[in-house]
Amino acid sequence: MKKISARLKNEILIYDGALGTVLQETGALKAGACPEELNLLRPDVIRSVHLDYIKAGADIIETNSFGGNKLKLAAYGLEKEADRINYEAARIAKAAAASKAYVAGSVGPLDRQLTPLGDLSFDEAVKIFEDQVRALKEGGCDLIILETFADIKELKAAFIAARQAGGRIPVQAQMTFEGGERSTYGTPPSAFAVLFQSLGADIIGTNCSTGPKELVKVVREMTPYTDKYVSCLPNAGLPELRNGKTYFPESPKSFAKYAAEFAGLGVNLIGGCCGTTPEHINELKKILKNKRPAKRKYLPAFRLSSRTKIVELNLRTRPLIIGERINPTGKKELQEEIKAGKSVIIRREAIEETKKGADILDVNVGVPGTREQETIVPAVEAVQAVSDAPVSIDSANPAAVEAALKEVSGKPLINSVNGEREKINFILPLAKKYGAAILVLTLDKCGIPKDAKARVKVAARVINKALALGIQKEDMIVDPLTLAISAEPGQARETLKAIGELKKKGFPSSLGVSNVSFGLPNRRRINADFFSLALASGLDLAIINPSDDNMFRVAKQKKGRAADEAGIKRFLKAALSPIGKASGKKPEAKPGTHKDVKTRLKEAVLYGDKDNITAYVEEALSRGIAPLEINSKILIPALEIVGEKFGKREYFLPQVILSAEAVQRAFGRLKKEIKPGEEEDKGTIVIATVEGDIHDIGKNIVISVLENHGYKILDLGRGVPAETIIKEAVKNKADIIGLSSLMTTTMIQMERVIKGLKKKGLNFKTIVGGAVVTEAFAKEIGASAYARDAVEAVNIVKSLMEERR
Amino acid sequence: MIEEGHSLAEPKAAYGIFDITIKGGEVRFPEAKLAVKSPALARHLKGAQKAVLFVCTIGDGLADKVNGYVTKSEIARATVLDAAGSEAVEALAGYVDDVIKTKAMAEGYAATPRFSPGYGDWSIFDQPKILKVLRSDRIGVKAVKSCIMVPEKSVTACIGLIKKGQRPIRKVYEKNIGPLKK
Repeated sequence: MKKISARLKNEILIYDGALGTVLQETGALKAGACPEELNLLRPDVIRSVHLDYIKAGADIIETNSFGGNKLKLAAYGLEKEADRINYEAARIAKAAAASKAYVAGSVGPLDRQLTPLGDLSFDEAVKIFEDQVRALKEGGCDLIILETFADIKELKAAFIAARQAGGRIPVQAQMTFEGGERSTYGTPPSAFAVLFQSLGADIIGTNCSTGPKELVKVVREMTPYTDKYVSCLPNAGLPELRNGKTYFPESPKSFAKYAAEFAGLGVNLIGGCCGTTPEHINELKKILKNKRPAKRKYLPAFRLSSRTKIVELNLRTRPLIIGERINPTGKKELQEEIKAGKSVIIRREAIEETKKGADILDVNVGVPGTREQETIVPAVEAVQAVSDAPVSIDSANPAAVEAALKEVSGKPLINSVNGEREKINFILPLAKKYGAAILVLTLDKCGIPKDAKARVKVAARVINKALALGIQKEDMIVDPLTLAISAEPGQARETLKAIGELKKKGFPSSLGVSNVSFGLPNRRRINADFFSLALASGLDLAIINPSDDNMFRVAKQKKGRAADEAGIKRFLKAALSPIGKASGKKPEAKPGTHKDVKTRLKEAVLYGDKDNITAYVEEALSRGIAPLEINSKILIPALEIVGEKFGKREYFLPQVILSAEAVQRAFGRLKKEIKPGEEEDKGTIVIATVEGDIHDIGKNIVISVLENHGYKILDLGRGVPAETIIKEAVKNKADIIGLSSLMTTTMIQMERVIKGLKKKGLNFKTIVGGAVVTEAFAKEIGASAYARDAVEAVNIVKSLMEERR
Repeated sequence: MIEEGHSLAEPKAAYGIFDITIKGGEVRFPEAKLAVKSPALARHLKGAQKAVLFVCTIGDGLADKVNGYVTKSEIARATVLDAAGSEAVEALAGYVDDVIKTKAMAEGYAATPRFSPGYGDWSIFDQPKILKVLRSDRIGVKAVKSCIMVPEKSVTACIGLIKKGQRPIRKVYEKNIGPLKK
């Protein structure tokens, strides 16, 4: 029999159809039984299905081992039989094929999620897949088909396992896309194709989904990104329930109609999935007879992917921006966070960089004294959780690079490799194994070559090694290194020249632009100018701080300044000449617009302008307005307007709180002016969230609003026992006790407080509130009052105080 | 503010699928040794053979930050961030719900809408039992004595799974391989 790879060059090969659904129909497979166990119990049934498909015209049949991994078999108590089940699966198929058909060893998902979605580690997954592939190979499979995967990270694990355990057998990688658009976990066909093109799968394809029609969309989206063979194994439509029976809507004829369309799109392997039968495959065979796959067009380009999208370097996207902010160098807070194993800052930076427009996010967690191979995993996880930008793994530690490569759910960039032998030996095989692109730095153990030619030479050496390992040419970019012009002005010229030379050889280039201005004043301007020159020289990627708007403006201009000798000279002169007039500062932002300070104060309360209110108070005082007048004639009336607006639903809670905060600042300033004793004693309130409850945001809002109305508030915090509340109220001679609780399980604590008061004959007023508390409940437990919200609380507290006086 | 909330959220979830029996307003999960007395839940799960219990959380980073703002008297920020946290955990619960539904559909089950302790007559005193069944300490969620979950922004829920019609048995293969042994 000819090798399968030889036949694929000129022919469309036909896969068999469904096994699982057909086995159910034979009755041999009982509901709830393990389909793969039939390899041991009823090899005759399996063989008969294989024979039917071969008779129908299948060139390739799949083994009955889709769910044959140890984890899935364990659900039937069959994990110990795993090797035998898979080995027999291959043997039965091989015997049925009798050299008339090829046998593909079927490998499906584990049905358990990998980290961070689940708790199965990448390494464990690889190990489980390896065991299955090894048994299938020993049984005699001609190729391995990884199918119906929805999580691209799991498929990556399966692929790596298939390569490691399968030796040279071809591997076919297939994902399933819902509605022909995205996998359950959000991966589009394009991102899948980009990763598996660089992983080097022999066949890239899709199966199952909602029917052949949707897979036309999938194939169209995949094919521009791969020059590998493409496969397509649709199901016979989504099962429908009619009169209590399940039907698959696509009949053999309607199903086969799509086959011609697939052939026209350049698909090389066509077959069926759930619901298809030997009749379907027979129709396929008739339609595809003597058809050759259409030629496809694949344009090599530098591409990366995340779980949910791809990033491509082309004329429209150039230059791609690599965000450099996730890097602890010189950032104390980030260093602390990495040491503590947290990732709040990393996530925040990732969100901001993406929002600013970074195409790729560099992740560097190199902090001395930490184990980078451990800290980089949560960092990559955090970045992928909040951003859809592909990742650039920035580490000098090969173990950390590999740990990160396992974690990435897409095709990352490795930053970086250079001409040093150890780097080449460690990093290049990793890039190949995990399907990553690489950034080549033009230096080696002798340092950075002085001129452009020598730098390109270093790059060429690394690139040749990479090509020999099977890394694709389009997966490499070169960084010819930016040096500080303050030390060696002439080096800027060499860097720019190297960009041009690389372009001639067909290699995209990248630069860490901001190094150029190191040690100089006015760095932002110099960076932008140099960036502009580099773009004019042909720079394709730039590692920059995405928050620097100057740089983005330059990137968007595209054209840049002329990078000729005169241009370079002008740049150097401007950058190195001492700065003169550049230090002129813009005047501060203008204060409120109204002339009358009273109006401005009132507006500051209404709009919650806490930044300026203190200045207005200052101004009002300097104009001789009495502190008490500011308070009672301006601030309090303004607060009352806020309360009214809240009542009329013109304002909502955030506005009320912002106003309260503004007034608090104003009070802070006024207090210094008011002499002790002059201040009116309006009453004391002790307030707490009751025992067992941890929710206190509502209580805090009430406090911030009440404080502004002149009450003395004692906040006892949350989870406070009844006895403590009573004790504090007595000690502080409170007028009112305020109680808050959110849950039905804790509101009973309010009753304990009130009962305790009664028992001790104490006569405090009580006011209660919180999500589940109602007026009726308040009455039932004997509270003095219930307030629905903070604004209502102000009025109720006022009347409670009057009752008390 | 909302972005800050986003960056503080560390979403995690755990779930389990259980066979259930429903009788007289009580839902039993025999494998989990759990019985829930709640006629509302029983009605909600009517017809289901299995049920999924899940717990999800956005972790405690956000709550810590909210408290930080409170200490600095930045109540407005605290409130908005807190609200963002509530929305985030709701959205997370919705996402987990979707994932479970999709998986259930693929395996021939229809899924009921989710139902949580505290809805209707399902007492939140059941919260600690559910967390124990799900081994929620794996994702850092526990219940305090008052049955409130910590981290505060966490959700537990139950989804019923109803088996769709069985597929018909087509006998075409019997002629090839003879009658099947019982």
